[in-house]
Amino acid sequence: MNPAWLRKDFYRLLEVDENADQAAVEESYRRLIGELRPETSPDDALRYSLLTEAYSVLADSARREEYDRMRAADAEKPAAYAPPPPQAPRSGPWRWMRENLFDGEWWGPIAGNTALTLAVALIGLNLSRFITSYLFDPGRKWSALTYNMKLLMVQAFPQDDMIRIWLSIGILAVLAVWSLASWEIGGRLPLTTLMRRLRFGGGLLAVAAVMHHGAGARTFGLPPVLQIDAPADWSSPRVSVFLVGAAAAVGSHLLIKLIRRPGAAADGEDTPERSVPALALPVIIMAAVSVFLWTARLPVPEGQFEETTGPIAATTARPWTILFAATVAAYFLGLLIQRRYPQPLRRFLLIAWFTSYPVIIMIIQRKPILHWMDILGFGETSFFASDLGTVLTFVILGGAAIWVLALPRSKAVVTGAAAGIGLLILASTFIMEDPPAWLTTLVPIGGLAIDLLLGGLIAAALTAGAWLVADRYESVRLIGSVLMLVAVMVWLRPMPFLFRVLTTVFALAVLLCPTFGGTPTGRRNLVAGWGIAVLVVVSAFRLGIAETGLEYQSTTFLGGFNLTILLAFGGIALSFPLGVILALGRTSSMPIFRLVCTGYIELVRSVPLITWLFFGASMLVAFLPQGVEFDELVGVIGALALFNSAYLAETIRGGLQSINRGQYEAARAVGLSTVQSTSLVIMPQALRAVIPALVGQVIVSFKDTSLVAIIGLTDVLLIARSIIPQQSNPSFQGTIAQMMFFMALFYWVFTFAFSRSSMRVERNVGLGER
Amino acid sequence: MVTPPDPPPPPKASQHARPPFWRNEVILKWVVQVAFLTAFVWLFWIVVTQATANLRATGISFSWDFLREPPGIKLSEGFNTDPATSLEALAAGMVNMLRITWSGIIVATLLGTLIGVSRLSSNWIVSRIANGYIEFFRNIPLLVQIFFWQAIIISAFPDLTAERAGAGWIIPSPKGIAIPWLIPQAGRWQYMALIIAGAVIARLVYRRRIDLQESEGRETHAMAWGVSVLVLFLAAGWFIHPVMGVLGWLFSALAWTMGAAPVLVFQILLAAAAIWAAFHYIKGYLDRRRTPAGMAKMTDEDYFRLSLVGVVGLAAALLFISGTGDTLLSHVLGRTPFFNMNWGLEPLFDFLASRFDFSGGSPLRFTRPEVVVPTRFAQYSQEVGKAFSPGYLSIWTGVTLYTTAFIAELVRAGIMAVPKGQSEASQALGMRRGRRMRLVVLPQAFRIILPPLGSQYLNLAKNTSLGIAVAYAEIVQVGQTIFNQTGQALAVFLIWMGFFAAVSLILSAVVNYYNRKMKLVER
Repeated sequence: MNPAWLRKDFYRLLEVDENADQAAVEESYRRLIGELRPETSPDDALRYSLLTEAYSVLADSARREEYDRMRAADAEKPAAYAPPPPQAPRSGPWRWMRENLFDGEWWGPIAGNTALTLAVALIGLNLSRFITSYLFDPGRKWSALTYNMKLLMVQAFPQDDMIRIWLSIGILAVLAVWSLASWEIGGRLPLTTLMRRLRFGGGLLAVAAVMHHGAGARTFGLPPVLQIDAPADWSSPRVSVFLVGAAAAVGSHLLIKLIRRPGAAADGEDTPERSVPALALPVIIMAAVSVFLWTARLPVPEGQFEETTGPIAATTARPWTILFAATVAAYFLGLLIQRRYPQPLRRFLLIAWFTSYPVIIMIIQRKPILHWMDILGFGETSFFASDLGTVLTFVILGGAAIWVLALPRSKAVVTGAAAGIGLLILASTFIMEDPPAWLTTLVPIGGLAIDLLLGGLIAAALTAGAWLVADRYESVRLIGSVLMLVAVMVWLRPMPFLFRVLTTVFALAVLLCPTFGGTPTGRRNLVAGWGIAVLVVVSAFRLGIAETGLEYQSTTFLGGFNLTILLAFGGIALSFPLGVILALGRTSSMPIFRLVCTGYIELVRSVPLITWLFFGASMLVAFLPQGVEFDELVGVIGALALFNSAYLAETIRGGLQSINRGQYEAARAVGLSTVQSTSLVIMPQALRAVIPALVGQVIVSFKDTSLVAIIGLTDVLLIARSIIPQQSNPSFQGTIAQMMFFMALFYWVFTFAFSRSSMRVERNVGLGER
Repeated sequence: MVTPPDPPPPPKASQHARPPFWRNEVILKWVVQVAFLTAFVWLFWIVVTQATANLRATGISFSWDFLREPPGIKLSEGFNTDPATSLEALAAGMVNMLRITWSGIIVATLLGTLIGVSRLSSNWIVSRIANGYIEFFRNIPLLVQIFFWQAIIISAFPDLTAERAGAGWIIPSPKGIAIPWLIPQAGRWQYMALIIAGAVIARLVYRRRIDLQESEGRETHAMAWGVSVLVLFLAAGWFIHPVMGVLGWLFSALAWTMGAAPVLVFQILLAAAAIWAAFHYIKGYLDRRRTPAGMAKMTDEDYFRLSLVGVVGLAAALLFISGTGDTLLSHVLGRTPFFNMNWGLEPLFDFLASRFDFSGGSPLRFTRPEVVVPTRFAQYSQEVGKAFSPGYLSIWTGVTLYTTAFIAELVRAGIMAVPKGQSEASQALGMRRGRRMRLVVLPQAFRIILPPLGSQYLNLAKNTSLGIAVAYAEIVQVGQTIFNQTGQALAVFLIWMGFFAAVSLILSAVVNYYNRKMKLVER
C-alpha cells in the first residue's frame, strides 16, 4: 500500500475505463509507450516512468484491487480530512540573500561572509565599471571595427568575387543545420531557464549602462578597484542600451511569473515544465541579427557606397537574410527527409561533410581555371589519359573487381578476378615509361621486355596464388597483399603521381574486402567508397595544378577569419585519422610500433607549437626533394595536423584503456579479426568514452590557430593587431587595445558556445551516466 | 556502415597443431615490424641525405660553429644583454624563459587554488565571480590575452615625462613597471651557498623534531624550529659568508679533472651504458619469467624480442666506441666531432671556482627605481631598482592568468572528487571551515590533481614561447633571430627541442617525485 498512489489517477493516465480488463490495460500501455522517445526528451522520460508505474499497479490483479479499495475509501472521506498541502518553502529575494550572501561561520555567524561579499562585490563592481567605461568612452574609435569588418573576415578577397565567400558560408550553415535536424541534436530547453538567462543578461546590460564612469578610465591613475566617482552624462547610445537591458529583464521576469502561475496550484503532481527546442534560441538570434542589419545605421567604408553611414543593408543585409531563410528551410527539410528516408540521408550528409572542405577551398573560393577539353578527353591528350577517362576506367573496372572480391562466391570467380587484375597490370606495362636504373643493371634486358616480364610474373603469381590457397577469403587477402607489393613498386617507378595514389588506394580497398564486404550493405559501402575516393583524388589533382583566376593582393587568397576557420577545420580533420593510428600503435602489443609511436608522440608534445609552425613554414622544404615546393599554408596546416595528432592520440589512448578486456575477448570469441574487432567493437566505444576530452581538444586546436599570426599568416588576429592599427586613417591608429578587446570577445563567443552546446550533446547522449 | 559481417567460414576439420609459417601470428607480427622499422630507417636516411644535399645547394652546411661566433644581436633584457657568442645569447634566452616559468608556476598554483576553492564557495557572489574568471580566461586564446596585456601596458600607463624624473617606489609606464629591488653584490655566491647549507640543516632539524613529536606525542613546534634555524643562517650569513670560499678549491679541482679526461673515456662510458641497458633489459625480462618451479617456457616472440634487444645494444656500443660511430654522429650532428665537443662543464666549474673566494662585503644592496631625464628607467644603464619590460609583463601576466584558470578548474574537480564524508567527519570533530579545507580536503584533493597539474605546468613552460610575439627575448625568440641571421634553422630547432625536452623532463621528475610521496600507501 502506497499513499502516493492516491495522488495519481492511473486509469486516466493509461486512458482506460475503470472496468477495463487486463488485456485492454496492456494494449493501451503498449500503444502509449510506443509513442514515447524517453532517450531524447526529458518530458517523455518522465511520462514513461509514470506510465510504467501505472501499468505495474493495474496489471497486477492484487495491487489493482488494493488501489481500487484505496480510491473508494478516499472518495468517501470528507474533504476536511484531506492532508494539508505541504508548506511551500519560504522564498523571496531577502531570504535568498540571507542564505547565499550574508550567512557564514567565520568570525561569528554573519560577519565573515558579509565582509567577503562586500569586498568581492566592491571589486567586481569597480572592474565592471572600468570595463563599461572603457567600452562607452567617447574616445573609443569603434568605427575602426565597423569599417574594417570585411578585412577582418576575409582579408583582401576581391570585392567582385564576394559571392564565393557567401556561398561557402551558406554551404557550411546549411550542412550544419541539416545535420542538427537529422542527428536530432539539441533537445529541449525549459522555458523558465531561457527566461532566467534573458533576465540575467538584460539586468547585466542595464547595470553596465548605469555604472559608466565619469572620468576617463583610460589611465591607471588609481587601481580601477578603488575608483569611486560620479557617473558620466547620459549619452543616447547609453540610454538605448539601458532601456533595452531593462526592458528585457523586466519582460522576462514577468513572463516567468506568468508561466509559473498554473504550475503553482500545488496538487503535488509533477507537471512537466514547458519547454522550447534548444535550436529556437539560435534561430531567434539570427532573426534579430537580420532585423538589426536592415535597420541599424553604422559607419561603412567611404567610396564603396553612397552614404558613409547607412543601414548595413547596403552591404550585407541581403545575404544574411537569404542565409537565415536558407538555414531555417534546411532545418525543416532535414526533419522531413529524416522522417522519410533516414538511412540514405545520413550517408549523404556524411559524404557532404567530407567533401565540403576540399570543394570550398579548391573550387568555390579559389576560382580555378579549368581546361574542360583536356578534362573530358577531347583535347590534345588521349581519352584514357584524361581525367574523365581515368575516373571512368578506375571506377568501373576497380568497382567491379571489388564487388566480386568482396563476396567470393567460388574459387573459380576469385581466380577469374585475379586473372583479370593480372591482365590489366600486364596491359598497363605498355603504358609505363622506362624502368628504373637499378632494375636494368640487375637484369641486363632493357625497356619493354623487362616490363612485360615483370607484369607477366605478377599476373601469373596473382592467378596461381588465388587458385592455390585453399580458403576463398584467404586468397582474396593474398591478392590484396600482392597488389600492395605492386603499389610499392609503382611508387619506385617514374609515372604520373595520380596513378601511384590510385593504385595504392585500390590495393587498400582489396585488402579491406574480406573484412568489411561480408554483407550487402558492406559491399555497397565499399564500392561507393571506392568511387568517391577516385573522384576526390582525381579532382584534387586536377584542381591542385589548376591556375586560379582570382586576383588577390597577399600571398594566398585565404585570409582573416576565413583563414582561421579553414586552418582549424583542416588541422583537426587531418589530425584525426593520424591520432587514431598513433593511439592504436602506442597501445599495440608489438614493441617496435609502440616504440615508434611513443617516440613520435613524446617528441611532438615536448616542444611548443610555435616551433613546429616555424618548422612547417620555413624548414620543411629543406627536407623534401628539390623541386617539391608548396605554399607556406600547406606546411602550416601540416604542422598543425601533426601537432594536434599527438595530443589527440593521447586522448584516444585514454579511451582505449578504459575499454574492458572482456570486449576484446568477446570480439575474438565471435570470430572477428583484429581489424574487425578494432574498428567495429573497440574504437566506437573508446571514442564514445572520450567525447568530452575530444571536444576539449578541438577547442584547444581552434584557439591554437591564432598562433599563425606569429609566423606572418594574415589570420584574423594579425589583421586586428597589426594591419588595422597601422592603416593611414587617423581614426584607426592606436586602436590595438580595443581591437584586442574585440578579438577576445570574438574568440570567446565561439569557444564558449561550442563548449556549452557540446555539454548539452553529452547530456543527451547520456555520457557519464554509465 | 556498422553492420555485422558474415560469420567467418567454419574451421576445417583437420586442425594443424601449428599453423603454417605464413599464418603464424608471431612470425607475421615480427616480419611486419621489422619491415616497418627498415622502411622507417630508410625513410629517415633519405630525408637526412636530402636535407644535407639541399643545404649544400643553398651554400649553408650544417654545423654548430655558429654557436661560437658573435650573434650580431643585442637582447632587450636578461642577465647578458650584449652576448659575445650565439651560445651566450641562447643561454640568456633560456634563463629569461625560466624566469617566467618558475614564478608563473608558483603564482598560478596559489591563485588557481584560491579561485578553485572560491568556485565551490557557498557565497553566491564569490562562486559566480570565480566561475566567470575561469570561463573567461579559459576560452580566449592565450596569444590574444598576451596582445591585450601588451596593448594595455603601452596605452594605459602614463608616459615617463620629465616631471617624473627621480626616484620612486613603484613606477608604471608604457616602458614597463619599475619596483625597488635587492641588487646582488660580489659576495652573493658565498651567501647563496651558505643559505643552501642553512636550508638543508633547517630541514634536518625539522625532520628531527617531527620524529620526536611522533615518538613522544608532545607538541615540539617543528615548524618554528626549522624556520628559526633558517633565519639564523640568513642573519649570521650576512657577516660570515666569506667562509664559503672553501668551495672555490673544490670547483677548481673538478674543472681540472674535466679538462684532463680524454675523449676515449666518454666513448667507453657511452658504450658501457648501451651494453648495460641491453643487459639490464634482458636480465629483467628473464627474471620476470623465473618462477619457483624454474624458468617459464619461452615463446618464439620472447626469443625474437631478446635477440633484437641484444643486437641493438651491441650495435649501439660498437657505434659509440668505433671511429665510424664518431664520424657518423659528426655527420648527423655537425662538423665538430661529437665527442670532442666541450660539454660546457669545464668552463662552468672554472667560472664557479673564480667566484668563490674569501673576500668580504655585503652580498645584497637595496635600491629604489629611478627615472633619468631622457625619460627612461635608470636600470637599463646602472643597477637601481628593477624594471620589468612590457614584453616580460605581458607574457608573464598572460601565461599566469591563463594557466590559473585551468588550475582552478582542476582544483575544483579534485575537491569534488574527495568523498563528502571526509568533510562531514571533520565537521563532526569540530573543525572550522578554513581548517577543514586546509587540513583535510585540500591535501586529499591535491593527491588526485597532481598528475594533471604537472601537465599544466608543462603547458605553462611551453606557452612562454609566445614571448616571441611581444619581442620578449626568450629562447624561441633568440633562436629565431639567430637562424634568420645564420641560416642554421635545423641546428636551432635541435637546440629548442633539447632545451624544452630537458625542461619537461625536469618538471615531470619533480611532479612525479611529489606524486610518489603523496600517494596512498596501499596494503
